[in-house]
Amino acid sequence: MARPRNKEVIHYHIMLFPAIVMLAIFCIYPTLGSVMAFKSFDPIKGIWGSPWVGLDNFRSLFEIPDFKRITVNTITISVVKIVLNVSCALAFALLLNETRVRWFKRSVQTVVYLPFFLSWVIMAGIFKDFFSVEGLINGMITRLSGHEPILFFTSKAWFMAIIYLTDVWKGFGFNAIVFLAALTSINPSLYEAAEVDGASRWKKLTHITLPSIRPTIVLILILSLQGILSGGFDQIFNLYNPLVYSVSDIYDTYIYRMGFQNNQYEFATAVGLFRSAVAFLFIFCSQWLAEKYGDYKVF
Amino acid sequence: MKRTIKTGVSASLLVALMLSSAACSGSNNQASGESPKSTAATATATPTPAPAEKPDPFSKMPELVEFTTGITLSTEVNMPAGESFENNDVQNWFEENLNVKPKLAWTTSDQNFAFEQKVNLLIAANNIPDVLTINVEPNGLNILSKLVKAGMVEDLTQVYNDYASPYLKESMKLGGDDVFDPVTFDGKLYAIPSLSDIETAIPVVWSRKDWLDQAGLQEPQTLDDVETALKAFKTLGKTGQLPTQQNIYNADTASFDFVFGAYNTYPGQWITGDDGNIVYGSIQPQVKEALARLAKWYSEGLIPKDFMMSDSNKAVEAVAKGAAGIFDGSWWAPWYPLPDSVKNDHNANWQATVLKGVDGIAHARGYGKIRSFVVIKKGFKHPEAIMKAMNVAQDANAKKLDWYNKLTFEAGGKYTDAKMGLLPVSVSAKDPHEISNRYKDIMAVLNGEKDINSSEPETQAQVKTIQTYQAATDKFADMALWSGANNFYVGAAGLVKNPVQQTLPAFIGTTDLMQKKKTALDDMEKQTFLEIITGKKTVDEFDSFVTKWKSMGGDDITAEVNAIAGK
Amino acid sequence: MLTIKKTKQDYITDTVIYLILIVLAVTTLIPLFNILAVSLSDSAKATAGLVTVYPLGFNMTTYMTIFKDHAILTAIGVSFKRVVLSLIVDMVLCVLAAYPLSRSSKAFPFRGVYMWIVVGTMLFGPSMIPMFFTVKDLHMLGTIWALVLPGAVGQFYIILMINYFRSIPQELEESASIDGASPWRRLLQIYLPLSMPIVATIALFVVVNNWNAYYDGLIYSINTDDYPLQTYIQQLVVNLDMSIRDVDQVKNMLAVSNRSLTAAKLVITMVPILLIYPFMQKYFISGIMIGSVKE
Repeated sequence: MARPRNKEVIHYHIMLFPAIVMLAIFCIYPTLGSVMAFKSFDPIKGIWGSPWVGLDNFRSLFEIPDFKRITVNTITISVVKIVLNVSCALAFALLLNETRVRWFKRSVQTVVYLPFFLSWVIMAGIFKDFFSVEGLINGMITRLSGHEPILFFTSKAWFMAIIYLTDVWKGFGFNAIVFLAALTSINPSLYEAAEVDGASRWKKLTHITLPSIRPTIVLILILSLQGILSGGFDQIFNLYNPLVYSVSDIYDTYIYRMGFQNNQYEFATAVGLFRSAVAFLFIFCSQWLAEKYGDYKVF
Repeated sequence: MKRTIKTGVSASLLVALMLSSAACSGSNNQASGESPKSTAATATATPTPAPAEKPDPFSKMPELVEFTTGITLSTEVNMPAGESFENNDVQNWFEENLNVKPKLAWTTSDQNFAFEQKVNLLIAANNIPDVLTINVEPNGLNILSKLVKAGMVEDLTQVYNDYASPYLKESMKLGGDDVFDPVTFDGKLYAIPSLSDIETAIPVVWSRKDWLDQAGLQEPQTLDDVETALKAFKTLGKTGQLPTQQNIYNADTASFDFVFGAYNTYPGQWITGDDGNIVYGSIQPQVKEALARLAKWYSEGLIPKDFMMSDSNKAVEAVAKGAAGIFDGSWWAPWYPLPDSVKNDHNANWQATVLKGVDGIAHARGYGKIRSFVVIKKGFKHPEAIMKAMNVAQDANAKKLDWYNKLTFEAGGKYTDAKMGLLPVSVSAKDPHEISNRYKDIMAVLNGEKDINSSEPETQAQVKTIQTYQAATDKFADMALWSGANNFYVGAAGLVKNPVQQTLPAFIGTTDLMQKKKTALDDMEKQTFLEIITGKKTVDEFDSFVTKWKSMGGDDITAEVNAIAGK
Repeated sequence: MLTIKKTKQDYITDTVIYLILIVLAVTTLIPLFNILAVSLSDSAKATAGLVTVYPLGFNMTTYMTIFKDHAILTAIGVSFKRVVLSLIVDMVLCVLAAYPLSRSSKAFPFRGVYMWIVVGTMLFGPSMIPMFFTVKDLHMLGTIWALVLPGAVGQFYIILMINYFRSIPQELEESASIDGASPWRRLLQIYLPLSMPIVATIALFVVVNNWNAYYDGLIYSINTDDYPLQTYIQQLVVNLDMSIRDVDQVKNMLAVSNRSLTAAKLVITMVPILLIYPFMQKYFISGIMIGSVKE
């Protein structure tokens, strides 16, 4: 079978037509407007009529004194977050998979995904209370160990720890759902055979569980990469302060602060393009790696 | 999956743009805040060709003039059923008497600079309404210069000269000769400014008299007194800390403005230096002294250890909780944050004053006299109609119109509690010292030195509020009454206890170089100041900060500012 | 199932695992209880930061206020309308696009080109100003369509759906096409009924994303009445300090600093999502799993 029949192909085109039209109007056409990044925008003349300025906007981007640092921060924070998110979700799923009480499993699973649906604006306020000098965490630290309260938000190391920790806290439950699904689909007879052989829990984990869900792990890693370099604004913006700018500033937070002074859309578009290009590079590399080592193809 | 779901537009980039204003020249290096020209057109500007008929500031337009506009709406708006901004008794008056009628092109929330953002988008889309009122904060003058450069707004020089009412012109003169500078470009007036009082900017130190009495102390007069009081409060079992927010200066509540004021120094502002040139406040040597004092307070635990994480709402929780007995606020603190404090503790007795500086004189910062301005879209047929509406608005805002007072101001008036402005277009030129003068007027009436009936309507209303409050059996039943009465009776009193010398900014707005370089300078400044206060760096770090600030473009910006200001 | 006897060590391991999970679940719930407690507390107590996980000065006035508040009710209405319309439009577009793309390149020679368009637009999106111009030129500002249409094609959903369609056994389709069924009938009568898990999964994504989106509401609105719920909420919660407010601004600000009222509004915002999820959960898990398996 599978010889293309012209009649069918026409139907396929018709089915795709609405989506493609919508993409053309709301994605492709406005994306072409990114030429703004190479222009000096004049509202009277519009995007297309404004004069070209070549790479001027990119030049002012690279002239930002801390541009290199901000780039490094953006990449580091994105990558660490992805790795932590995936590994913690996996660890959680594995733990939960060890429990045998159904209602318990269900309830825990249902509870931990909740933070995913809450906005950072709300969560940031709560975390600031949690980790403040008089907050819950410091209360426990001083009571249990007699240690001085830790200034979580002024120490660069602690601050980054909090950024990563809260990000994981918010996302792990959601990612874990996918892992759990993968885990439940592993053939139980594999485990039964292993137990007959007297394999320990650890052995079963490393020899059956992990290999079985390897494709899922790779998948999640790759899908996480798509939003690389654009995530995290809401979180960082609502939690940071000038003492930790040097480690926590990312493109978006910097541009935001610059918005108070600099107010130029073409400049922001230049940043967007630059970021897209870097992100594209990342995704391209990761796809290549995944195909090579994970035997996996997403698109 | 969390990062994989794609929305139409990158949300975070959008957020990043929240405050961005319209696009404009990326490369043609003209100062974009180049407004102030001291040769500005003023009320007494150049003679203009006489109009065909003698302009009358208050006459009815021969035909109905409709104009589009955009406004902010609070979520608290409380209009009578069936009425709106476009349809209410105030608008009807304007339509009947001036033949002027507004049409709402759009509305935005009054929070988070949603209005400024909308204006910026519409400028980019070349789609502004006929009339716009724009606040100077946070970057109104920048927006204005973009509008002017793009040629999107009318030159109002002649309209103002011909049609502004004598009272409006006279009131504008209260602001001084240079009041039109920020809205004048190449000698042409492009916006009609509103002048507000300058005293709201004065940082007031609020302290709890009930605790001071317990500790046997007087109301603090100096920084040393504040220090003593904080330590004494601690021995009373309170926190003994000063509520402090992340914006350590130029913020109306819970900032260190009063400390900088005590050293007569004004970080973040362009001020006139000793030699008459404009200098940047943050790099002045007195700032170092103020920072040294703050570092000492921080190390002694008088400042919350993680104040840099708090916004003003968070910082004043300590006030509401009854944990803090001294804080920096505005004269209107009886509206915010004090109500929560007295609701939780009826014994809380807050008093206000402006500290005397290290030289024994009370110093305070000020801000630009212009708080907002009105622009008219290029090509709008009848700018004079808008000018006439503004003439009436000025009279209305000065409480000179009985019909307007009855509707919007007096207790029980139809719109007294409407929580929105009803004038079709508003301009208001007030005495810069409105608050202290009003306070003296009120007290004169209350002390029987002046007859209430001969005083101005606003004085009368405030006196009535205070008297109603004093007669009330339960002082806390109506918190709006409590706030209204104490605002002048206690808050404004704080402004006059010590005579205050205010330092007004010598330059406001932004320049081209600022747009490029100031973010990095501000970052460095904030980091350095916080590091010094929290003891991560010694106070001598300030000197190397100043050197770096100058070399990283600060000197160039200063030169640009001085060139623009024409000094 | 498992018949092998547990050792003492197993019990210890189990206990540790259960403990960890319980702690995780509790820490997740604390913030939610905090918001709920604040919303049910006296506002002065709440503003003073005294409320932890149970209400102080319990009262329901905040909720009564909300149900009389025209602005928030309007916003809820806009959000519901947006979610329902998006659900319809997005699902139709997604299913129709995914089916032809799930065919092999042999059966549908242009598949590669379309696939490039879908993936390409997923990676490079437009920036704000051109997007705003587009919506404005289509005269959609201030309409519900400005919130529904720009994000209506979910490229990521399409990919999930393609993968799911591909997991459906070929034999079913082959027998159907021998009977002479058109592609439309095959899609509607064979594929769609078998794809309920992925449909439910994507529906959940669409609902959650549309419910939670706030920024487009701010940009594409004409009046404050056009704000969807999250935009409205954002205006209450985010507090960009004006450096100096005058007394009139402060008076109008009062309600914003009413913490318990804001918390109640947040609770209202979360309720629909919390209600929907348990019903979708079953489909969701299998949907996301099969949708994300490799080609």
